[in-house]
Amino acid sequence: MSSSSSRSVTLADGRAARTASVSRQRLATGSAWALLLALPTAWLLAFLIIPVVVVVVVSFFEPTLSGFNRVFTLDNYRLLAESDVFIRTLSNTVLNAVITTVVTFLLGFWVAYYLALVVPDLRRKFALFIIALAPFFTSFLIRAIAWIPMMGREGLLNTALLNLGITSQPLDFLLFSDFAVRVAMIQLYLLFMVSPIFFSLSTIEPAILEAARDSGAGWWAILTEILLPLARPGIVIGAVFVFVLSMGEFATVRLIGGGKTSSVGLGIQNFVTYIQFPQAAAAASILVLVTVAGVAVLFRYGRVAEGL
Amino acid sequence: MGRVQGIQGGRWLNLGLGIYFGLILLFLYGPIIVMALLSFQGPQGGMTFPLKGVSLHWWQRLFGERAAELGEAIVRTLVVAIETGLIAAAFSLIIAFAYRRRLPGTRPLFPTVLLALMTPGILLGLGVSLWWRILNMQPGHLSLLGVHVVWALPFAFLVMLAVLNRFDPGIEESARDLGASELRTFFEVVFPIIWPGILSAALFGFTLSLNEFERSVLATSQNTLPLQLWAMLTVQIIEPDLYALGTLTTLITFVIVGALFIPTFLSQIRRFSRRRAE
Repeated sequence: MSSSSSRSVTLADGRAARTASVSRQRLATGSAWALLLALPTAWLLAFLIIPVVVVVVVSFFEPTLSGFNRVFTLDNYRLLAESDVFIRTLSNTVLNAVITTVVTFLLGFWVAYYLALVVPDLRRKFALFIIALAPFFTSFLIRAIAWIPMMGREGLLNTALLNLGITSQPLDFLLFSDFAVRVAMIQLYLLFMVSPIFFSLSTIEPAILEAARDSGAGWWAILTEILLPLARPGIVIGAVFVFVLSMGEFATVRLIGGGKTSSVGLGIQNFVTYIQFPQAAAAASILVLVTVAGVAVLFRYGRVAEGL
Repeated sequence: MGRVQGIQGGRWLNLGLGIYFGLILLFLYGPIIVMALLSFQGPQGGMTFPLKGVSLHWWQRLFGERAAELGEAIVRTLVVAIETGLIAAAFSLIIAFAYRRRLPGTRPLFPTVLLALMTPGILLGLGVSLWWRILNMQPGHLSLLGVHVVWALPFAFLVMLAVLNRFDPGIEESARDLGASELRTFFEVVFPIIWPGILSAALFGFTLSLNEFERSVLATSQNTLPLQLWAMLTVQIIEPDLYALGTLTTLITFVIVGALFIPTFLSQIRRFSRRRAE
């Protein structure tokens, strides 16, 4: 410590030691991170990836009375392809999903528009958004059965229609029908459409709209040439959510459809009830294939990659 | 006019949209409100209108006979929901941190987490039950917890990403530069700042698990509350005490959602308006 040179040496040594310890620490943290990351990775593997793979594999197994034999066969698919009931159920499922997706977009876009562009105050905007979002967290089953008193023969809608003199007798198609299932599904999934559109509309700079208005663009021009193109990623993501969820739907179909209508999801559940696992797996694989095809069409048509 | 930024269209159009929004809220809440009203149906009343008197008959039945019948399922539901909340929060924290630091191995995790969101519940349930069969195990608590965490994880992860986006990495760096170890940095610097975010991720998972049905139905042999409800709905003749049960669980969910969102969004708004003011 007597001369300045020895002091600088100590400093340099210290720095070198510190660098070494830092890199040792980095290495240690690296493996600690690997260990930590292994947990969620293993979980997703065990409860997401492997189950999906197992479904596809079992769909090629031979069915037995108590389950399946590990013998390769295409019979499960052949039986489903030859079954009129399954084909009708599949097309009905796709039709319901498409209708739900289109209607949630038509209804939901204006909800998102109102929240993002009309409500001026930020606090009110978020408050209203949360109020609209809250029912999503409640039980889907409860929300489905809540439709029964609305739509039944003596339900609220029929009573109102009768009292207003619009109809002379109760409308039977309101409950236990495809119509009822679609209405309930639209209500269940509306918010999956509204949220992404709301977020993409919210990110639009007000200055862009002002500039468009200043250069003489009318309301329609702003809507079709600015808002819709800029909201496109949100619309496509919302459509994918709603389509995928309604393709897999079965509880609503069972409770509101009342046996008069069906879905592939419900069919899968019925197969499992009768211990026909390979058939259930084949139906599920077809469902996934059709769903993925639908999603691919949406992504392609929506050109999301460009928008991001 | 200039004060109200971004406003679109004329006054009448906006008024019309306001009314439309009200109608949509009616569409979303109407059935729930009707269900709540009908839970106060008189003892002779049925599942639909008209109300045959007003009584607490069905609520008493819910807390009497039904409670005894449902007790086990309620406990099981709560246990799984708490576990789901904790695990989803921990996992989302790990993934979000790793993702933010662009650690190797995180790249495939992000799409996998999103895949979890898009996998139909019935498929996941069927897959787990078949896999358990192949392993010669009876589907039960673990398989149920497994699919619940998979369902809750994407939501918890998105919450965590939002939280970490607001967290200044400079704070973390300076702690490390001052010689704090990774662990110490986390527990003494990072955790005290982001714990509300971790809590909301856990509550998210808790709520989602509490009401989960589609993934659970094939994934376990032990009934949770929604599964028990499903059994009642599909096998037994339903009675208005189920409306009471639905009203009760909906109220509980709203309370949790309120507790979850109100503080988060208030702070978000405060930050937002501060940024605007600058």
